[in-house]
Amino acid sequence: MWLYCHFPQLLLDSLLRAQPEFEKQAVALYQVQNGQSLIEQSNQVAQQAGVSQGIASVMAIALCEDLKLKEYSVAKEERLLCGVADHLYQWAAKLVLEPPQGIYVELDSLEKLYGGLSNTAKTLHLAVKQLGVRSQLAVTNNALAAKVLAEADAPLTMNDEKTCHQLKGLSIKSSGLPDKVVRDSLSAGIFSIGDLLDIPVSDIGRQLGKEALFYIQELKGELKTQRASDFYQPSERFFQHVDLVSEVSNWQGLRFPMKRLLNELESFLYQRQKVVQHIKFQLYQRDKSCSEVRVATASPSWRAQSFWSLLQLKMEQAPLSAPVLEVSLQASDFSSLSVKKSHFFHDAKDTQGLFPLIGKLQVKLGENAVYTPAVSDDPRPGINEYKQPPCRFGGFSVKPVKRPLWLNHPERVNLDEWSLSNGPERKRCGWWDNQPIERDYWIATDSKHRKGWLFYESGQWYLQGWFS
Amino acid sequence: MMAFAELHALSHYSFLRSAAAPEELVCRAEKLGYSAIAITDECSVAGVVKAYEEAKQRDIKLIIGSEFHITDYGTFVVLAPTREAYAELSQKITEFRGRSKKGSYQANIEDFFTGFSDCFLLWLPDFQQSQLVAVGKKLCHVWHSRFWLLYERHYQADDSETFNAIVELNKVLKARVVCAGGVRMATKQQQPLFDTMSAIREGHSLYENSGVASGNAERHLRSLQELKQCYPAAWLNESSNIANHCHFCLSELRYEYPAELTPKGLSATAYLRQLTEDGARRRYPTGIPASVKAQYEKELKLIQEMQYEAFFLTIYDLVQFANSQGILYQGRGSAANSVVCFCLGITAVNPSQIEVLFERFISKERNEPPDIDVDFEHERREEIIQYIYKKYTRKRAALAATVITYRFKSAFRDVGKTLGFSEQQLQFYSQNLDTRDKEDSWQQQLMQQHPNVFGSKKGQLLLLLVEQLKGAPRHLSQHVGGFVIASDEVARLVPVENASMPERTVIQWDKTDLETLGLLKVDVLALGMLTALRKMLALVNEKGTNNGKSLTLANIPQEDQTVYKQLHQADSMGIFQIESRAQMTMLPRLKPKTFYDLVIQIAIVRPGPIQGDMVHPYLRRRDGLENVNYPSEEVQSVLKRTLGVPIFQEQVIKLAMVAAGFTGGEADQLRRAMASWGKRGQLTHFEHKLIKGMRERGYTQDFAERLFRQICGFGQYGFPESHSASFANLAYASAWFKTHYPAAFYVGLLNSLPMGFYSASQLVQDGQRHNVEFLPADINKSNWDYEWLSQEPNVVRIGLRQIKSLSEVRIKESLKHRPEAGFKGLKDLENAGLNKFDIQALAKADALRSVLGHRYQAHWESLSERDSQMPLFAQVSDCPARQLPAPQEVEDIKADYETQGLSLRRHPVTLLRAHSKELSRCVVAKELTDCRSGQVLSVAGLVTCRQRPGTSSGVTFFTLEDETGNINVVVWAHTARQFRQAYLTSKLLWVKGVVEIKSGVVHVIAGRLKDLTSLLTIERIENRRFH
Repeated sequence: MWLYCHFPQLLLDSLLRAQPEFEKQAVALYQVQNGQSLIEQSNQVAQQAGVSQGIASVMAIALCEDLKLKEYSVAKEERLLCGVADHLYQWAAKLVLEPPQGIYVELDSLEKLYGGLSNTAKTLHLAVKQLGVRSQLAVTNNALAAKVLAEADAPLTMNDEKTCHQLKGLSIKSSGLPDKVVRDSLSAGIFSIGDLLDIPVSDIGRQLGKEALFYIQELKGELKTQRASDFYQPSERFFQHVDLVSEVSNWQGLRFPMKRLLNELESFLYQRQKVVQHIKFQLYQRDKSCSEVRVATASPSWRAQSFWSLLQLKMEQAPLSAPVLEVSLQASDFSSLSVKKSHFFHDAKDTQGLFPLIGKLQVKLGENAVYTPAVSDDPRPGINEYKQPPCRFGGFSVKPVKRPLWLNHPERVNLDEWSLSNGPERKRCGWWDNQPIERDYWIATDSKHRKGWLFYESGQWYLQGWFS
Repeated sequence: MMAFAELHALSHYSFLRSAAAPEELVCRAEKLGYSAIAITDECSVAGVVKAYEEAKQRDIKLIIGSEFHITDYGTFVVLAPTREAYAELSQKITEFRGRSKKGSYQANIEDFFTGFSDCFLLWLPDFQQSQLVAVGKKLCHVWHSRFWLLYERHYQADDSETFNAIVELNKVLKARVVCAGGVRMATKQQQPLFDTMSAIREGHSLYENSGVASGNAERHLRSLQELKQCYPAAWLNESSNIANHCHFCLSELRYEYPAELTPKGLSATAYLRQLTEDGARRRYPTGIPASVKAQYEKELKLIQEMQYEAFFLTIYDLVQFANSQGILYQGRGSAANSVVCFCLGITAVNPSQIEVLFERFISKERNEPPDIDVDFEHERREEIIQYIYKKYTRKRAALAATVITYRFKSAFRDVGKTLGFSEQQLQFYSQNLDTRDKEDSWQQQLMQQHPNVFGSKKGQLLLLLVEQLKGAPRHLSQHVGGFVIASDEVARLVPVENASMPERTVIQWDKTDLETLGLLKVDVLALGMLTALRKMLALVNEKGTNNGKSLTLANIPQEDQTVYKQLHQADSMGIFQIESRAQMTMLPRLKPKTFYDLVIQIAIVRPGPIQGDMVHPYLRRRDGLENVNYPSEEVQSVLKRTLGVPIFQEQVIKLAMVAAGFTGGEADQLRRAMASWGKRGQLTHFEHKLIKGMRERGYTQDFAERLFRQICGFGQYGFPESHSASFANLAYASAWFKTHYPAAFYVGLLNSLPMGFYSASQLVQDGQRHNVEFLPADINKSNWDYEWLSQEPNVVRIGLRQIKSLSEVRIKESLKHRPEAGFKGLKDLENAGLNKFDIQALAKADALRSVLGHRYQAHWESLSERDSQMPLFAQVSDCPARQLPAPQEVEDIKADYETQGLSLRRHPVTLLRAHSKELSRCVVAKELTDCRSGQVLSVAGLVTCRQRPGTSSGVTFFTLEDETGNINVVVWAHTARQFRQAYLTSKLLWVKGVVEIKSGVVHVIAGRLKDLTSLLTIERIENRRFH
């Protein structure tokens, strides 16, 4: 027996779960196909305004001015499906993923555990409900039939006769057959799966081809598939990603989604009886590359609360540097739950390496105090030299420039004490943000033969940095 | 005083590499006191004509050149000091462009070691090149005294290294050094636009990658003082020295017409006269009227004076070819003002039909070559194009370019992305904008709708930069049909590059550039109605129905009142130029009774006259509801034919002539100034002259000012009478066919689709309402085209061309092998050359009924012929196929629309009416005329047209089609907002509203809308509904 769970709007539902305040607003996901932006998923409020799957995004906006649009991603939905599978793994070991929106659950091996088929189905139904996303379920002794029924949102039944009747009544468009087979069937007056089942198999094979033939044979139980050997194996690494419906400019707005991610991590760790000491949030920000928030506990833990309290401290340290559009949480390097706890800094022979040291320094000194210097292509000194997260090397390609390695806060100087040697290097840019500059830079030598980098701005000379 | 010439400047015709228009560069350079400026766009001279026009009005020399980049070797700036050098440069650009696909070029270092014998070369080396000295020595050797090292300084960190490197290199090469600006902006203030263009080109936002922005604004035209501080004096002076050796001017590009245009022994003038007189005798077999003779003598004199003979002879040659091939054509536009064109057979507007005004076409003051546009049948235009290529060869003929520029939408999107806005945000902001709104600019609308966004710095930048980017060139495209023909290679006149279409090449100049330089351009345009008319003529002549006489466009009986009476009923679907909703609304009011009425009908239903409030006064006067007063006989002579309301451009010109004493040419200049007064501001001069002239002729100051204001308002939208008359000829001809030979009319149109306003379905239904019976497409009875089977009754067989996805070539070939008794089975069809796709398409369209039965059966059986047939089933393919139930009527109708876009069965609305209470209570289209104005009712139909004209103040016009005809529905903005979903997405719309009947025209003003599209998705009329 098979249970098939279909999650028709997994990505959208997850998004709204992370920001439930948007449930009452019109929200939809779009996907660009062949150069056209089309609606892929929409919530109820959006659907009531006429925003349905397949319509153009432009039309959707015209129908619903307040519509919030986010881009759909198959990859993100598939990741979420793995998260769903991890959750269901607590109740069933034999899961087969049908990305991006479906999961098969093999029920025969669970009947003894849950006391019969009906109880098994109920238990799993409740487990699915806990996820808080829309789901459609079907139970039959044929995996394909279960999938087709679930995707068509047929009422759940364990009665074989009813199941058969439902299946036969479904439109051929719901069958999951390739588009060409569906089109050919409709053009021949075959409208339902029942109509197809009435046709002799030889006719199906000859007229509609082998895909249709195999489909019917599988549906009839005459063909075994590989499905039974493709059981899901939970990942050893935790990675979950949340798209935000609307950008968030302050930590307050991120509390809920980040807490939710920590709860999912807790669930993940608990299932595996693992603990972890270092986790990393990534904040995908507008107008900037993504920033990281690392949290390291004094000792490995599996509880969300352990990380949450440290995270809150970090939130208090500095405001967000730019609005956040997406958040992810990742963790690896797990250890078993039975590992002894070790105290922070108490072990003088702490040889965990650079990475944990940086984490500790960041928590103690503040995240902004620990960075790796790097250079970007921005022509403005000061902005050009930016601080990137520690241990993150590489990034932008940089043209060689003549400038000091270390820049100061500009300090006023008396030009009489300097001898200009090379310049000017004229900087007039930054009109697009709030950091324009208009300066002429010179390389100059002072009375002690030190080489400095001076600039002239608004009638005054300044020292920007020293050459080594 | 220091003399300086900027020798390396790019304009925005280098496509996103410069922020400056060529005119801006010339103007600014003159203001700064430069002695000369070289426009050196990248592998292009696309911008030089605009620069030339500007330079003509200023005291600065323009030098023509181009820059080329060769990786690892640097930038090569080539200047053209002489005509021969220019030809060389142009040919080289052609060669480099020809090596690459459209929009790019390929130049190699070897290209600069040979092939340039007259140009100058300025080399900006890439100092990373290890073979620098060797390359430099070779260039010195080849170019000798025409070679310079180029130094440019933009205040970068490596300036001193570059300077030293140039000096060191020059010690070895002993060449001269010159400096230049490497200019990309006319002024520093253009830096934001320049950076934005760079970001667009690189595909980055300025926030993601600020490195695309320039570090400073030094690539602008600098003052002489700034240049002195930047460069050594000797290098500055060298620029002037080079400029002094450059003498080439674009005015040297005189048009030399192809020698094969005139017979031996005859000059172009004599030949043109001969052809005109011969043509006049043909046009007026009973004797050439004196006025016509006087007119063509006047025209020939001016043509000779301006040396325009070749333009007429070239077009004459083309239309003669068209005649010889039986291709219909018609000259249009201002050329229809020319009697010479009429005599040559280029245009069909008889001077007696309208008031011709030659000055609208050519005048001394205009000093532009004639612009003669000729429409050819759209299906056969390619033959004309191939004739041109064959006669003149591809080296001597090429298409003119069209410059695709940034419009609001593309500018808004591209600038928005560089400023970090997402695509969705930009769509959201722009979707509610009305860029045609005359009261609120688009900037004001955005500020009102999204004050937080557009009040911020980023939002303000978006508003500013979009406005600046609008109008900037994006890329070159090929003109629809404008050809340049030269006596010698076109590439010696202007570079030629690959177009997107295979076997097409395009020059780097557009129509305006060609007019500026006086080069010959021939417009070979396509018109679907000409194709349709030829087919209608052929059909009628085949049937021998015109009393045995061969019917041509020229001998269609004129002024047939039966034809006009049909038009009074707005029965104009399919008729050229008067078939739109707006025209159909006007026809019952204007009630044309003569050819000239048609000329007015075509001109008056346009945004211009509507906005200029010319339409209502004209209609009131026509209905005798308003008196017409003229201030003088002269004014009356001009405006009488349009009841005192100026409608045509020619009337404006004539008014200026008769009322204010303008010459014809001056008056045409006035008209052109009015059309572009927003740009040039020349109206002040004309206003003074006009008013003064009128006062001298006794008109009051008040009248003169009022007339001037009226002319000003009118000048922007007035329509050429000659153009309207050309079109009226075709409108009348098509209307005549519809009245007298409706089957030929519909067959001609249907066999010429796509064209016109209406779909095949709408035309077929209109035909049925005109008692034409249509028979379905069938492989055993149809040909590729629609066929007129019989006249009484009128019966038409739908052609196989109506079926989607059919191969015309294979079908036509297979029909040659159709047995007398018809195809009997699948094998017959395959043997005739049809493949499985054709057979399945025919089956789905129910065109195999006579072979395999109904469409389900036919399609089912055709599926066995598949390439991927499984081996087991291949052996059993000869077994009799299963018999499938026939489709229900609703399934047939749905499939008909899907496969052919039309159905001969019952109209879907008829079928659905039986199953829907709402539909059953609706009034049908043909019953609306029996209702009274003000009556409340409901109507419903398929939405076939949704139109929101810019003049409509937010009103949308819907056309709904039911089984009896079409319903005009008016939806005001507030109704649209209230029923937004139905308004935007309905395919089957129900409307409750109020009937409005004016002058026999019926509209329903919508109060409520309801979307009934879901009824159309029924696949079977049964209890259960499928997805």
